Amino acid sequence: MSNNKQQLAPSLAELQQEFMSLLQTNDRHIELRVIQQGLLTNVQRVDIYRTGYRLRLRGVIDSDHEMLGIYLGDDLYAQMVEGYIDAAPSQHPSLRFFGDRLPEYLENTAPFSDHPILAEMASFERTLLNAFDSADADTLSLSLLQQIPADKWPLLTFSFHPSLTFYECQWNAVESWQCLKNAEPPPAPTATAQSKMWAVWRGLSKLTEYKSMLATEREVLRVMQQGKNFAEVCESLLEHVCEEQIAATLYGFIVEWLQRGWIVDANWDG
Amino acid sequence: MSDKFLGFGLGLRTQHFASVINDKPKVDWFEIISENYMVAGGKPRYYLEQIRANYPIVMHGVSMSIGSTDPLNFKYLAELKLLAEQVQPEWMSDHLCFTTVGGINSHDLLPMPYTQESLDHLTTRIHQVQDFLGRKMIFENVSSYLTYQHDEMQEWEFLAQLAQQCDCKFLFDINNIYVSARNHNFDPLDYLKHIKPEWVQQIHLAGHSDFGTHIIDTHDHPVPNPVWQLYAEYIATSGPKSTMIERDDNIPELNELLVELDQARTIGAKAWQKTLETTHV
Repeated sequence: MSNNKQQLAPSLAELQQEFMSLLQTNDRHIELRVIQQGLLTNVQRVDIYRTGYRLRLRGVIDSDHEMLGIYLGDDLYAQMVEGYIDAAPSQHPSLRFFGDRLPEYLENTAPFSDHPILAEMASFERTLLNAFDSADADTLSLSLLQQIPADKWPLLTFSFHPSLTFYECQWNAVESWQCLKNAEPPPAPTATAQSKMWAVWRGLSKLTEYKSMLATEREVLRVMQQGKNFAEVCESLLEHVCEEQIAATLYGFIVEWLQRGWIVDANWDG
Repeated sequence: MSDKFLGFGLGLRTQHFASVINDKPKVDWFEIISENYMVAGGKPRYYLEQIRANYPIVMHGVSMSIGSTDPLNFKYLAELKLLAEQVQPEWMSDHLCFTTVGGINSHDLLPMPYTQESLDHLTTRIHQVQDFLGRKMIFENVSSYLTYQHDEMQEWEFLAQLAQQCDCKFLFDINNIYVSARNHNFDPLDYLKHIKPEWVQQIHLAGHSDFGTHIIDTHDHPVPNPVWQLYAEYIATSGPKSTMIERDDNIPELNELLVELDQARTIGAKAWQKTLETTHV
């Protein structure tokens, strides 16, 4: 190696920065570092990396946001993917998290920001993904209800499955997502004055499930997740349900939660 | 790190979870992509636990970025170490490359320049990683589409020096050697003969896409004849090496991969007959 060549040689850090600049901004400086040989030009050699980088990231969005892709159509979807790759490069060792900032990107970037349902649909798909691989926990079954002494019900508290999350949206994002999933045309985007609440969780079969929730059930869950006991929850329900129906309403919720695998622990010792 | 010969394995893929659990196919061991299981829970971890009960597992990572000039990602390494404690793999591997620059992950296995600076850098980091994980690592050769003008040595010379400096071992991807040999016009046997067999812990066999002027390492095709031939030539002198079929895309039915695995077994049996008889592995 000549002295002249040594002077021109980049440090390892410089070379790696040049490589990343190629991938991210198509800065072609690294072509000068490459040995010319064989039938491939240096342009072609570095293009293999640049193309592979974008294809790999696009594949992640294709896989994680399939329904959003169908909703957008080919051209807008391609525009979104290209823009997102440039705006939100991966900062995590796993590609699993590459799309985490997509809802935020759609919310803040025209023309997507003109259609708020897009960010909501992306956010719903992220919520489903998060439920898929959230922490495990053994769930309790309906037989729990026979184990609770009658005089201990007021003290009853629950712990909920780590995958159980709540998703709130103003637009008909979930209904549209569901239509697309069933290969049906989605409805026109519409917003409601009051936001809609959905529960998302990983079911007993390890598959991700979701359901819409009424305000009463959401309120009960909110209070119980704060560690409040059955008696305190009953009190909080007085605003929503007439007094004589409170116990039956709560009992109905608890049966459903147990059947869905939402409850992982119960305590009635105070 | 275990030096034992595990036999003939497959890369574990989600499409095959049910078949592996229900049918218990004749596979000696499975390799998992570590990052796919570095999650809190859910299906991947659930299935892995069941498969682990029946098969030896090795862990293969793609994000250590051992060659990067970024600081080592100790959060990632801590999660990797935790997974290893749970899975108890026979050994752990990653790639001799860099993937991150300035905190951005390319999610590609980008080629190192073969220089003394790279050697020194890798030596320091491999020691740091091995100390942190409390175990020896093995590193895989990556395929490449370019080489650098300021390279000071050939790839195989670089690996030989690294093995002597780091006390690490290699995972030889025979397909990657073939791909790089075609793309950079060298004889793959020159590569193989420079690496002492005792430095090689494991072998990957995979396919690629041949465009005539160059080859792209897609790992999405069956192992092609030239790669089988190179494998046969290598193992004729290397002694028994734990070998697996690695398919990363266009994942076929499990049976199709089992046929390829049998082909590897046949080649291995021919090459290692005497060794296997005397050592009863």
